[in-house]
Amino acid sequence: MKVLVLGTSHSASLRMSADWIKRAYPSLEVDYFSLPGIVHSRSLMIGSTFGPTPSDAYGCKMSQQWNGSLIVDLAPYAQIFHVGERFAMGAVTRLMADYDILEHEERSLRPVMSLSAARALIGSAVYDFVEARHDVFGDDRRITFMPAPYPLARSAKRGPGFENTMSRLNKRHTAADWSQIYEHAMGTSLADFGYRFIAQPMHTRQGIFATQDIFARPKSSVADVGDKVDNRHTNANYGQEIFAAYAQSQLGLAPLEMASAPQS
Amino acid sequence: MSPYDTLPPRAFWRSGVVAEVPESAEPIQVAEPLQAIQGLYLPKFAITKDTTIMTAGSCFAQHVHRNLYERDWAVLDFESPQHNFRRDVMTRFGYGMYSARYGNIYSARQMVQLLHEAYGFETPHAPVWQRPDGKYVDAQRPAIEPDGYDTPELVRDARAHHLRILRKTFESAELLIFTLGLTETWCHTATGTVYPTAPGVIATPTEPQEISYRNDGHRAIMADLRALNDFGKSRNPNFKLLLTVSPVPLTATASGAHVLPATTYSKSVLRAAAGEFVRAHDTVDYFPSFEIITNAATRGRFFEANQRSVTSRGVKAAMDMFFQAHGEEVDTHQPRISASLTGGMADEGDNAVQCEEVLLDAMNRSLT
Repeated sequence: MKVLVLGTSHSASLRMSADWIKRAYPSLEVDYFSLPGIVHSRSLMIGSTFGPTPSDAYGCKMSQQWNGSLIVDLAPYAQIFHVGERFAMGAVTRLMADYDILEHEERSLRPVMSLSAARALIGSAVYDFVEARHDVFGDDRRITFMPAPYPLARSAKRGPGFENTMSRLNKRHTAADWSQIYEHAMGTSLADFGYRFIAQPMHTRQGIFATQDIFARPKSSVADVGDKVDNRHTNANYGQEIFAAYAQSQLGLAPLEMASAPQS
Repeated sequence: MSPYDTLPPRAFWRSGVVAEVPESAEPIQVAEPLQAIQGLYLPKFAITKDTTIMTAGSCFAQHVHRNLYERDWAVLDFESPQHNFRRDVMTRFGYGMYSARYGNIYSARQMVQLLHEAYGFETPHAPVWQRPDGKYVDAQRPAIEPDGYDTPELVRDARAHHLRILRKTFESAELLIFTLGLTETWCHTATGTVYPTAPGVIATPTEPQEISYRNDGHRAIMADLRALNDFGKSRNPNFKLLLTVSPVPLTATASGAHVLPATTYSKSVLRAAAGEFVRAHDTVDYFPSFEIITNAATRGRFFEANQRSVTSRGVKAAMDMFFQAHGEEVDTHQPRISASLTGGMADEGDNAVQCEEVLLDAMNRSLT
């Protein structure tokens, strides 16, 4: 079966685990097509092909550099694993960090919002995002979306790469409730357009809204790169974990080879 | 059962005006943009982009708030999400309409009552009303939760939080822009508590017979304006007030009169009171949005086909006059664009340089 891994820079973790995927799923022929998020979001489908428009010089350059081609033809693929979209994550997580839910027990000095309003605001933001993706990809039941991973747990530490919103959100007792609202919105919005959805696997997370540090890119910490710390992108082990989750849930396939143990 | 349910057709704008004059529903084609009338608004005091502004009032005040927000003026709103959520959803839940989530405030009395409540000087009677579906609403802002609340306790809890934010908003404001909308109100006879809707329109109190109709006159409106201004000054000696009168006709009247004279009475009293009050106070001004929208020269073109809602052109004419009078270029600004207008794509995305690096890493690995 031909499978395309399509996505933003977050799909790099899957590319990095390509050898393992080949060994663990010999029945699958997996190809990869990745673009930086900003290019990916403005790329289009022309016929059955996806990629940056010819006028997008930067996008074309990046696509050529990373994929060896400007565009990818989706027609040959039986399934498409779409990785790394953010699903209005910035706006939604700020809302979740900034507000208390009226019906929740937890109270802080934050403004209060009813559960109904929270669901409506988050639901509409996610829906609009998905609708915009549908405008590009159209009706395509082959596509399964998995969002970008939450930032690494180490991003809760102040300094370079500090994720203020995520850090505040992850500390909240209601994080699981918020997560349920957000991920439910992603699932239902995608289903409305005929797409499938997989949430970031729980075993890759620390708490609710953070990814375990063992999935950090190599040499991406403050100690390694100073101010250029990367707390958002993940490594090959993460790629293995999410591909396994995808293959199990969507293709009914278990790996023939165990995933590598993450290096801490 | 609402008091409006049994009123004759003449009491309603739609049946009393639109249906009686069918051609009034036909849109008139306007070739040239309507020019604002010069000299209509000569401000008493300067209002700048940095003046902290609180907006409240009848529904036309929503346009004022939105225009200030879109032009990035310092209009206060501590209660709404600041993250570009969809405008229609925000509005459905009362967010982003005014400087706090109080919904429409149709009269100065209601505004005074709200501020007094926020500071503990007044406790409105019957704060929780119940809808026919069993859900509860905040009697003072019954439309802000379209799904209602499950319990009266949740209503009170939400209101307590709202009032806390309202205090912060009011104390942060240098200027209150308040749009007077109605003289007709619904009032708890024994306590004087006023409500924005009649019993039965959205919800009903436990003792609806205690709520009665009231149509205020000039003296009452003047007293309420004085109370509003005095309260503002008591909290902030530099407090300023900018009054407007909503040009939007009454949806319905419970006065017994036809809705047209009822509208004229209401707007006339409000306009006269505002005029008299402004003349007597240096720190209170009047912005003539009512005149801009309703003056005969516009031949009704600033109203939608229902002859009631103000068109976007009308709003623009009014707000352009406001901004021009306060030194802002009106044709050059780029309004803030909601994320929803960009398909929800605007987001605090990943660092582009890192995105490039991480993919190059992956490419290098897969090539080796």
